[in-house]
Amino acid sequence: MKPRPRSLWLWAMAAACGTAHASDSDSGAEDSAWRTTHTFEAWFYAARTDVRNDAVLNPGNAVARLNGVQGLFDGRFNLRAEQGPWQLVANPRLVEQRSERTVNGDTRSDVTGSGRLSQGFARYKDGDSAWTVGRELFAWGPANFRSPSNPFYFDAGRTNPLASTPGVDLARYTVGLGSFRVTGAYVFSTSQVLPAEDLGHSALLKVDQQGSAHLVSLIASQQRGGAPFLGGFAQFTPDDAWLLYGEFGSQRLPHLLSPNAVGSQGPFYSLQQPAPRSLDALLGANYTLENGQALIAEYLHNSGGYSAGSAQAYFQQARAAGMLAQRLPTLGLAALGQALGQQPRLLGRDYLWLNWQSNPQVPGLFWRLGWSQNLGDHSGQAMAYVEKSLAPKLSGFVSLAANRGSVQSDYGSLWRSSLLLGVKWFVF
Amino acid sequence: MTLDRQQFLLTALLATLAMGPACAAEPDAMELLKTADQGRGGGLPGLVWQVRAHNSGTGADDQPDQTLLVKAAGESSVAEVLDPPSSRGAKILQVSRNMWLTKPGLKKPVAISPRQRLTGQASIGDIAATNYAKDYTATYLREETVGDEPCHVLDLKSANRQSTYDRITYWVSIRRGIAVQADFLSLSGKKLKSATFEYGNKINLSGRSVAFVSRMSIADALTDARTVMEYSNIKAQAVSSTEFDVGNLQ
Repeated sequence: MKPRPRSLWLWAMAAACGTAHASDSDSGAEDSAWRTTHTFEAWFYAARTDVRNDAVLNPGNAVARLNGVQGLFDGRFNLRAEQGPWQLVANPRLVEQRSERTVNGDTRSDVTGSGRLSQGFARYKDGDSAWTVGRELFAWGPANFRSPSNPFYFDAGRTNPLASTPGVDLARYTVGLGSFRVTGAYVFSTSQVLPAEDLGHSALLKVDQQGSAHLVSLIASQQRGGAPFLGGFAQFTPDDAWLLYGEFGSQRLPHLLSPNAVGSQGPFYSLQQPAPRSLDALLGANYTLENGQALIAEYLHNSGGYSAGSAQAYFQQARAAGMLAQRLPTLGLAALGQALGQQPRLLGRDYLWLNWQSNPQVPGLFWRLGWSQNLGDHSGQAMAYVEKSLAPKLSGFVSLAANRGSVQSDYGSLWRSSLLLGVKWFVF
Repeated sequence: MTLDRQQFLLTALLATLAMGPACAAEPDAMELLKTADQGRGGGLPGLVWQVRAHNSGTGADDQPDQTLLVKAAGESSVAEVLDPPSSRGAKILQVSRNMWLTKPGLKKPVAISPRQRLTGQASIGDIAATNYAKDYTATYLREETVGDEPCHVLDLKSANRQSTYDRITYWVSIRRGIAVQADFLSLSGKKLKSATFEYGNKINLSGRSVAFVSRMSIADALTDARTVMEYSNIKAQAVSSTEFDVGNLQ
């Protein structure tokens, strides 16, 4: 679905008004009546990114075509209806974006608009069991930086406070059996999450065991014609302040891009399909202070990433491809496009993620400070986010990200810093 | 001789009357606690209610009030934020010591530790049904008057890790059987917070009308910070266990 940008506003407002009227039927008093709830948040924000012109992977911004300046309207609906055992959920999202980018010194701007259903499902709860059919965020696990226990959502999206991640199309059944909970699911499509890597037609089994202070989960998934995924996570709350956890996942990704020997004849990179089996593991700890602020540390080993030597070869080949692009643009840029588009989902093998944040349950002010570090090449990214209530239905937010590292490093390779300013209008 | 016997009987009677109160068995602290819990949702198969929380004092004057829809059963509770608009749709799930927080737009529920307060001075344990008889061992201390109401005073000590507080001094009305005041203490006995309770609500329990909590005011012992919670739309009803499945939280 791709409505024209000008009509997007009208569509959004019409939908907002329609929903507001629908809310009048809210009763909430009797179980036999539908209880409807709805919210519509209109986010307006502008972002400025300091894109590296000297990027090895993206010379002159000719490959990634990153936006230097952006203005966005992001409309997010959250519509719910419940009646007895039934629950209906819909989260349509509308985005209109004005962006400006500089490619080889030539600045261009454009306007794009899109609409999509982030979530939309029906759920039937019957005693200890529940059926869910539709598009649902099928995510779990305590990790923030990345979530290795999930075959569909490796990037947990928790490091980006403005992310809006769509669900996967599925049918699932969950039943509670004492302290155990068993989920069987069939995922029809994940194209909304990663269009290039649809893990649709996957059967999944998840078994949870929950105690008074812990939750352990094992996950097995098999895509039709693909290799099985095995994963799991555990979380433990030893006392009031600490939360300790870990996640792991073992799978064969669709491909692995490997740099060929530097200086050799032939293509710069070769693609192995599927990739060898990789094992990713994350360990984390969360400590909550007396005032509700939380300190979180996570370590991730990502065996599908490059070793130090491979990472060096990856950038050296990119530099060679960039030189080729000066003589033969089509060939050189194609090689760089492959290097960017098919690189591992995380470039390095070992990462540390630190986060300090205010109590998210205190209304009015929320802030967080984070640091992500690639322990292999020592590049990193600092992130700060502050959101403050300005009026009962309006809050303002600022997000700042700054990368540290050379042009041939994980975090330093494409852009230096990004500043984002915006407001959220809670329409209803 | 007869006179002596009468004197003896009279003396014995007076002595018995004088010693009576001292010899009478102390009230059963655990029974008092069970009865008091009923007025705060304890022992029910499930409970659905709305809580409006207002924070005041240092650092809280500009915080908007919060309205929560709470579903609770046993050791589990889920609270959904209805107001303010900026937090609407957020949910906090507690199953024993396991806790999660989610908001519209989050990819997945975030695991949090129990120390994460709900709002102001209130913990998640303060808005859920109270099961002190299950979570604490009670010892009878004394009788004392709160305002003009005679009360039993109980000393509660945490009996398991599910309890929100380590120790509580609890005042239970002799006449009404409900708790009217509490001091929340650290393990060492240091007073951390204090609370008062009002019972303007009624629920039907096995055919009889039971007074039910309508207002809880929690004050910090060291600062002027205070949280007042008002309870309304109370329904005593079974709540499906699927409501407390973190997989169904969003």
